[in-house]
Amino acid sequence: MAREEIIATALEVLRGIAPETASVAIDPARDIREQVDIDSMDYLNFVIGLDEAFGAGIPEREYTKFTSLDACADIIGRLAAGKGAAAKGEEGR
Amino acid sequence: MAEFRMPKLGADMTAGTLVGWTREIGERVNRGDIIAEIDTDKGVIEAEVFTAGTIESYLIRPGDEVPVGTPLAIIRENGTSPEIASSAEKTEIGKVHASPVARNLAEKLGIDLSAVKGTGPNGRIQRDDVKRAAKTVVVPEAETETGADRSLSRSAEKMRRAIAAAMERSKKEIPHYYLASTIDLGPALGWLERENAARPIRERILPGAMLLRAAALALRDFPEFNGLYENGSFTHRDEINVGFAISLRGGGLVSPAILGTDKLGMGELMAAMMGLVSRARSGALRSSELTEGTVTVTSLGETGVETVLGVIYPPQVALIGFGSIREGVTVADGGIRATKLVNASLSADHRVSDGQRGSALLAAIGRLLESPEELWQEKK
Repeated sequence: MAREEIIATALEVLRGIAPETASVAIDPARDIREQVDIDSMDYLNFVIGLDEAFGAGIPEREYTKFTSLDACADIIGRLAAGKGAAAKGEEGR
Repeated sequence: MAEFRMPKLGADMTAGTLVGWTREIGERVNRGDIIAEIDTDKGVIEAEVFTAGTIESYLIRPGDEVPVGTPLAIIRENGTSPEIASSAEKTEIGKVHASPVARNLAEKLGIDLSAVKGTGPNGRIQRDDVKRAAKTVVVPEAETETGADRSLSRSAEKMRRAIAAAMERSKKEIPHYYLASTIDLGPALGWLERENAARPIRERILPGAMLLRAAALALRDFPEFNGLYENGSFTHRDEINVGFAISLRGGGLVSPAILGTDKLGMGELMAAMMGLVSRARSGALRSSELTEGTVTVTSLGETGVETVLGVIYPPQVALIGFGSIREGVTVADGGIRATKLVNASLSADHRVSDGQRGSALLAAIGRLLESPEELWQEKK
């Protein structure tokens, strides 16, 4: 999946949670919490939304790391790559 | 015959506006069913009926604003009912089966109901179906934005007035006293981390649920903090319905109650909290949630100040506050250890309780949080 695509989808998830950001530009490199007013429950909903949007199976150790849109792209890209590799490995067997 | 009257959804509500009916005349309703949507200073609330029966007639129309206590509908108590005939009639070919609220909304948004897929009973179109359909319809942007902004600022203003009235009454009538103490959350958060490691993200539990559960369980032994002070005297409530303060996007707050908070396991409580937050923010709270609170808990989460000393929500008599969770040290066995701390506070009504019992309540909350195995036990 292209990085831009992940960022666009993550942004959509974020805007679903914080509708007031619909027309505000979000800097992908900066901490989301500095740019959007989200509390711990919003953050949980954000991670659940990402998990659903990407079918990523986000593990617990990554939970706190979705701090910026860039971080989302890094983690989800890595999880997707890991899954792709695992699937290929199974095919080869 | 029973009358369904404009409910009083909060100490200072005097009138409400009918947004629309969610059921149709001739339909059967059970106790607790949502029958109407009512616009109040707390936003749009889904009003529940207290009588089982058949809706006989509606006495006011959507858009009408009437005082609290005004009869809105007549409900014929259980007996004969034309229910089956009426629902068959509604599904006739060419006729759209939709709730009155959905019809109103569709008309307002200019949506063709025959193109909307209903998800209600018998495929009936409900408000949410219209909302979903509306999202896919292209509406001129400028127009919707100003409309939304206008209604937002109007409801924010109404909510500000409601908060002002309740807080003014509280500080005028209730002789508050305040207590606070620091709790070592290290053991509880360690336990939580292990729990969450075994749970999927969707079932993750946040520290706020532990704090709420600890408060609810502790209140069982302190009846003088759980109940209502009305007409010059205090009535204790057996059920512990913790009102949970939720701040809303765009300002304001509501504190809808989680009914039977102490009877919910940790997972159930977390799910209830998430449901309540999302419904509070989308304006779909139920009338019972706004009227049945017996005590309030406010929890500041992970950021913010260390201590909150709250203002009691009348006619309740106590508010338990948790400041933000922070890094700190604790002294144990003559040494110090890094840990996480939270300041718990109690604002209580001095007409009903005294500081000594208040201190004991805070100590009981602290003990529960410092012995997580007890806190996590699913005792009913």
